[in-house]
This record gives sequence, C-alpha cells and structure tokens, in this order.
Amino acid sequence: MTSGASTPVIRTERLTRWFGNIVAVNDVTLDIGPGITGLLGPNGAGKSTLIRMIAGLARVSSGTVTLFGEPVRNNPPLSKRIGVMHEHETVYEFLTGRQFVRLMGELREVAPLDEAVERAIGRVELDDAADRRIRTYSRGMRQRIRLAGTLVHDPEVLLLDEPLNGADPKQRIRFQGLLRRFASEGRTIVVSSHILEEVERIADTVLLLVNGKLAASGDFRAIRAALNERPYHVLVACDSPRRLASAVVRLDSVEAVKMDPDGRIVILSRNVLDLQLELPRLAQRNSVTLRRVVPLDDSLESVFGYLVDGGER
Amino acid sequence: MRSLFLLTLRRVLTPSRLVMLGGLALAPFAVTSLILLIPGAPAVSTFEGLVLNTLIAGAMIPLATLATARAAFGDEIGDRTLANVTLTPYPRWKIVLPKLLGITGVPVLVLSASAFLTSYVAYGADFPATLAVTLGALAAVVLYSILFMWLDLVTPHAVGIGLAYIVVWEGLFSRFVYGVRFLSIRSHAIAVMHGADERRFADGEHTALGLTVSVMAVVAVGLFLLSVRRLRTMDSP
Repeated sequence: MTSGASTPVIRTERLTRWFGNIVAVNDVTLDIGPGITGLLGPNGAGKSTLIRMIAGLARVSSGTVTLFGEPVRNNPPLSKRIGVMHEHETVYEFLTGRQFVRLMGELREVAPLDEAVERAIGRVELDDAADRRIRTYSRGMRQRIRLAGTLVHDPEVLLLDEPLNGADPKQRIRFQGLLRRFASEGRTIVVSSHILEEVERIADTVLLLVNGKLAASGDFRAIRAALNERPYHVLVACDSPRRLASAVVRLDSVEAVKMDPDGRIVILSRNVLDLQLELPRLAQRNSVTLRRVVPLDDSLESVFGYLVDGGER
Repeated sequence: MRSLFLLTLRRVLTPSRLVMLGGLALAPFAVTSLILLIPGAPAVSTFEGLVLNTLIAGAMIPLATLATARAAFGDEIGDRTLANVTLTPYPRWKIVLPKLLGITGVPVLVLSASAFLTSYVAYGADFPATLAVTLGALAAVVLYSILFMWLDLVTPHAVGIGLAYIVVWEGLFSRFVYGVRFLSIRSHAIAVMHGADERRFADGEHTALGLTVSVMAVVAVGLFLLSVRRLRTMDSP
C-alpha cells in the first residue's frame, strides 16, 4: 500500500513484531512519501510499535524497514535525518526548555547550535518560557518543547506519536498549522492518533491500523470508496417524506429506508454513487422537493468504526 | 560525548543520591572512630574484617554504586528518555563510555575519600596502607559501577537483583565459599589492597595482585562491551 505520490521515503515490507504471544504489528507493508501521513488506530492497535520500528528504536520480529533506502536499525548516522516525538513525555524535568533543546541539538551534532536552538524554540513559540525549568511547564508547553527538541536538527522525516495528547484546542490549531508548514517544506511527516478528526484535519493520506494490521491506506475518501461493502447512511429532508420513502425503497442501490423522529428519511445504501444519481430523478418523478441530502457517516470516524468492528455495526 | 557525560553527572547529583552517597561514605569513618574510642581497641585484623571487608567493600561501595549506576541507563529507561540518547549519530560505545564516566566520577571521589580517611585514622597515618585501601576502594567502585550499569540495561529488576547480589553473593557465598572469591568484586578489591601493601596486609590468602588486576580488567572490558552490545540490540522504551 502506498501513501504519498512521490518516491517513498519510508518503506516497510511485511513488517511484524511479536511480544511473546501477542502480535503488535502484523505483516505491514507500506510506502510513505513526503507530506503528512496520518497513522490512525485505536489504542493498542500497534501505532507506537510501528513508529518505533520505523525509527529504529524497536527490533522487528520479521520483515524490513528502510528510510531513504537504508536500514534504520543500528544505523546511527540516519538519526540526523529523523525526528521522533514519543507518545510519552521524554523530557528532562531538571533542565530549562532552552537547555533541553540545546542538549537535543548537541546529541545530534547540530552546527551552528545556538542558531538552531533559537529557531526551534521560535517555531514552537516558546521564547518567553525557554529559560524556565521544564518541571514548571504545562502539558501543552511540554509538548511544544519536545517538538522543538525534535526539530532542532531540522530532520527530513518527522515521526510524531500522539503529538496532540493533552493539547488544548488553541494549541491543536497552532500545531496543525506548524505541521502543514513543515510538510510544505517537503518533509515526510507521520502523525499517529486515535482521534479521527485530528488526522482528518491535518493528514494528506491515512494509514489505518487495526489489531496490528494495516486495514487500509490512502486518501480517507478513497478508503471509503474501497470499502464498497460498507453500508452508507444518507439523511434526506424533503417536503413529502413518505412518498419519497416508498419510491426510494424500490431502488436496487437501497437496502433499507427508515423515518427518523423529525420526519426525515434515513437511507441505508451499499452503492452511494447510484443513489446520488437516482435520488434527484426519483424526487422529480414523484413531485417531491428535496431540501437536504446529507451523508451521515462520511467522516473518518465512521470508516474507522467500521474497520475496527469488522463491519458488524 | 561531553553532553552525555554532563547529563549523566546531573542525574547522579540529585539530592537523594547525594544524601545516600554521603551517608554511606560517613558510615565507615564513624564506625572506625567509635572503635578507636573504645578502650582496648580490637586487633588490626578485626578492623580489617569489620570495616574494610564488610563495611567498605561489602556494603558502602556496592550499595552506593548500585544507586549511582542507575543514573546511566536505569533512570532513562524508567522515564523513557533513553530514546533521546539512542537516536543520536554516535556509535553505541560513545554513548556507554561518557555515561560510565558520569556514574563513576562522583562515587570515585566520595567513596575513595571515605576509604582514605577511614584507613588514615585506623592505621595511624600509615600512608602506604592508606593508599592501598584507597586503591582497593577505587577498583571496587569502577567494577561495581560497570556491573550495575550493565545490569540496568539487561533487566528492569536491576535494583532487586543488585541487592540480592550484594547480600547473597558478595555477603554470604564469596565470604564463606573459598572458590567463589575469584568471582567476587569484594574479594578482588581486598586482594588489590593486600597486593598494594604486602607489608601491612601480608596475612591471609588472597589472589595475587597481577592476577586480580587482570581479572578485574577483563571483567570491566567484558561488561563494557556487553553494555555496548545490549544498547545496540535492545528496544528503546
């Protein structure tokens, strides 16, 4: 499965990781190119393990991971090109924000260091608090200083594991803007999250990980289209719902029709394209005025729920 | 390398570790002073058995180094900051070496000073004997530090296993089972002391100085290489 149109920067082939009898990541093959890729899945889906294997921080049980065509494991020079932000707070609380970013820069042999440190701190807009100890920071500030530490060496690949955990709405918006800017600079960014809206807002492409397996990848609407067996719910408001309902139920593309308490029609269809074409014609033929046609489950959440529940919902 | 050394040193120099280090370092000196104050002080051999062998080499140094060695990798595995260090362009030995220097620097100074002062008081300013005790302590600090640093890399239960090792292996087996002494850091530290001043410490059977230094060097290098290998193969939390 491929995410990103150009040459893949990250490539995994049949990547698998076992922890005892538990398969955390199962036979995952993917290509990720420049831009923002959302790694989506519920807690325990294997997102963190996959990111850690891509970063070379965790061993693989079988399969391969390459970045820029090179194996990542035990390849220290490659770390200069990768920035990893973990799900957990990996900061030294006894340091100030500036000292932390500086340390991260020193560890990655950044030169000239002072300039890089100031630029990274400026990017996350923490200039005013940079000389305070990290233990005095709020959760959102810690996230930002960690991001500054991740960016200080100007990495080409950013692997961000649940980076918006604990961030308030304002910080989320700021962070999303920041990521878009980085992506526009040609970086490859992987953002994991279990919050669908988050990924939907920032990611160009989506990788859906369910129970350690890659359930789907690509543009999230394309994923939806690929799931052609998945029933779609469409809400229709019109001036004569009963007349339209009795006509709609005869369509081949419609599985079921029901009325909601507000007198609107909810259509269950397995072929939404046909329905889109047929519905206006049908309304016209039956002299019904359509007021509103809304797909009820066109968000990532519904796709995700469907994949997680295996279509049992 | 300098950054890693300073980071490790900073972790060593936490108030709790300094209090523990200071308390353990004062213990042999306090006990020795008490012994000397008691009329009819015990024989030198009794002092050697109680203070040097049991208190300094058997308790103070291993317990203090068990605590300080965690500053190398144990703390970083615990608070999940190890990835900050492993995601560097350095070869792994360049990570292990500054961390080892970071965890040994302070204990070497504090514990060797304690051993020096204690033996200086006990042996009435006999400088060669004092130097021998200090050298033995120094060797023990370095070797225990490498051992416990490696232990932190291979098990999340390093403190428990380390304590069991100190009490059961060093405290019981190596003291009472003669053959085991060859595999005891405490016994080798005492052997260094004996070898460094045979005039004062001629009594008792101990491993020859050359052999003991060789064994300690091989074990130290071996544990260092095992730490490098482990850091290369392990998962970073």
